[in-house]
Amino acid sequence: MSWLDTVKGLFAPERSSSHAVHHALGEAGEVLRALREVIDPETHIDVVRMGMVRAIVIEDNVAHVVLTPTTAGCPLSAWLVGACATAIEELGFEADVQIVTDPPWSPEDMDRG
Amino acid sequence: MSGAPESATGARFAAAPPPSGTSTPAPVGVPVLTTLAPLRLVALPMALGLLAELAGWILVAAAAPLHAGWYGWPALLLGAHLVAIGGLLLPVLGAGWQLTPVVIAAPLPPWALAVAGRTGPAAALGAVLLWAGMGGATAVGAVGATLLIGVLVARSLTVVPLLARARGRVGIRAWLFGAEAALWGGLGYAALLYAGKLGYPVLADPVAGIGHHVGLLAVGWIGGWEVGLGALLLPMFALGHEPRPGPLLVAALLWFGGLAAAAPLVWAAGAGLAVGLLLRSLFGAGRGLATAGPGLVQAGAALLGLLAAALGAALGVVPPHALVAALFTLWLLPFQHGIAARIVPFLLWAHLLAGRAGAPAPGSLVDARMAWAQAAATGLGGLLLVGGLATMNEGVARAGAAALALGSALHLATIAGAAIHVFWAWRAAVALPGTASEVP
Repeated sequence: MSWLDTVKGLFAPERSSSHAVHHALGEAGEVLRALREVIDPETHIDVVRMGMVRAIVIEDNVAHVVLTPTTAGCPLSAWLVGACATAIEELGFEADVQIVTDPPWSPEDMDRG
Repeated sequence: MSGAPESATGARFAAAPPPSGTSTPAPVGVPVLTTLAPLRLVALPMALGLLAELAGWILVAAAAPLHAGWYGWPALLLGAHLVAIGGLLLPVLGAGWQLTPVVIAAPLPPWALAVAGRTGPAAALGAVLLWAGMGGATAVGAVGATLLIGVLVARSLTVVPLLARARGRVGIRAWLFGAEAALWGGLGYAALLYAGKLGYPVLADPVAGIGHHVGLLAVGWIGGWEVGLGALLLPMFALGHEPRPGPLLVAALLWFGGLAAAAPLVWAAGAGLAVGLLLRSLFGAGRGLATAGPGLVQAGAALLGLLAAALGAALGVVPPHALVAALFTLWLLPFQHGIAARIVPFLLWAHLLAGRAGAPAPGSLVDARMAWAQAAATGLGGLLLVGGLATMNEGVARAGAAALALGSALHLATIAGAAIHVFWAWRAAVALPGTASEVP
């Protein structure tokens, strides 16, 4: 990437599309419903409506979940991972909850419905 | 099964629009490391600061004559430094140890934790000795000033390399780098002023030196951290967009360039741009003003105070001591009060109540009525003090200082109330067997 591209990136507008998972079917849907019970303590909104869930993959009874906290370096990331893992394990799956921070969370990820 | 999309590997998945064009999301995350710093790093400077700020405003309210200026009268000098060091410097010092890991998205390394653990007690001792010196014990004050300068230098030498090694958040880190550069400049002027007081005059114009000292430390260092961290915290709490790094970088260049060149117009342009970016983050998206709560509303109002002070500085229509008072009481202090009202309960909750069954939510830990009353008293006090100083009206200025003392008392009560609430909830939680959850 050239320096000009780097500078352009600094001034690029915010993205306008959502990267979050708000609906899913089957076992992924069951996991998503369980994650709706995990409430972000700061906002009192569940992590699904907050748009923190980026992906759910069910493979060999392991639920791989990708979370993006609202802020990279969020002090509650470890707590959120633990709370989501607990909710998933209560469904009978093994939990593999991971954090990704790129692309970062954006208000567009929220479910405002 | 049952309608879930199938990947090539047979995995059942749900994902947002695939970021790289592949059908299966790759769940490869970053290590989950806690960026929570030890609570004591924040608690000690914050607790001493709250008490000192209250004592400072009481002293200012009782001192006379206010309209003669901030610098020439021992009681005013002490009161101003109790407020500046207690209300601004110590909280920034403590909060910086918690918020630097958030900015760099990584925990403090052990060597930084070792430095941080020593700076809190050393800064507290240095501040107390410095205040004692301003109360008459000059030699004690010199020891305190030296200790405080040493703490700030050690802190800066720790924080700057951490910020330099981090990636991303270019705009926010630019503000923090600029703030640290201003700190070194402000401390340089403090040393030269103290040398003059001890009989070794270096500065040809000590009054101008005081102006540079106050400007670099208050507007440059503390103000730089407030804007930089505001760009991180305001969107986080309001669920808004973090300001784009490019405009934030431009604002930092104007702000710190204007300060370094003593060019008020340039600084004011940077201030105007920064205020616009932060207000957009605060109220442009997410939850909006209706659910922002007293802390965020006070922080937003303080940004308008900064805008007013910047206009006053640019147009040159405000007397210097009224301008200094405006920067302190309409911007720096209320902004810090507002942010503290949000972040302190959150930190207490994260340290003591996260994962505990039946724990109250962080937002319920603050007495909202008291927080609104604090914001009102502090705002009214700032307006009266600045107005009284600008119009040479002693009674109005004194009423402003008294209102600011009330605001400080309410701020202390708000924070202490949240801490007591957390303590009782924590005691109740640990007293009940099996109530702690399994989450870390």
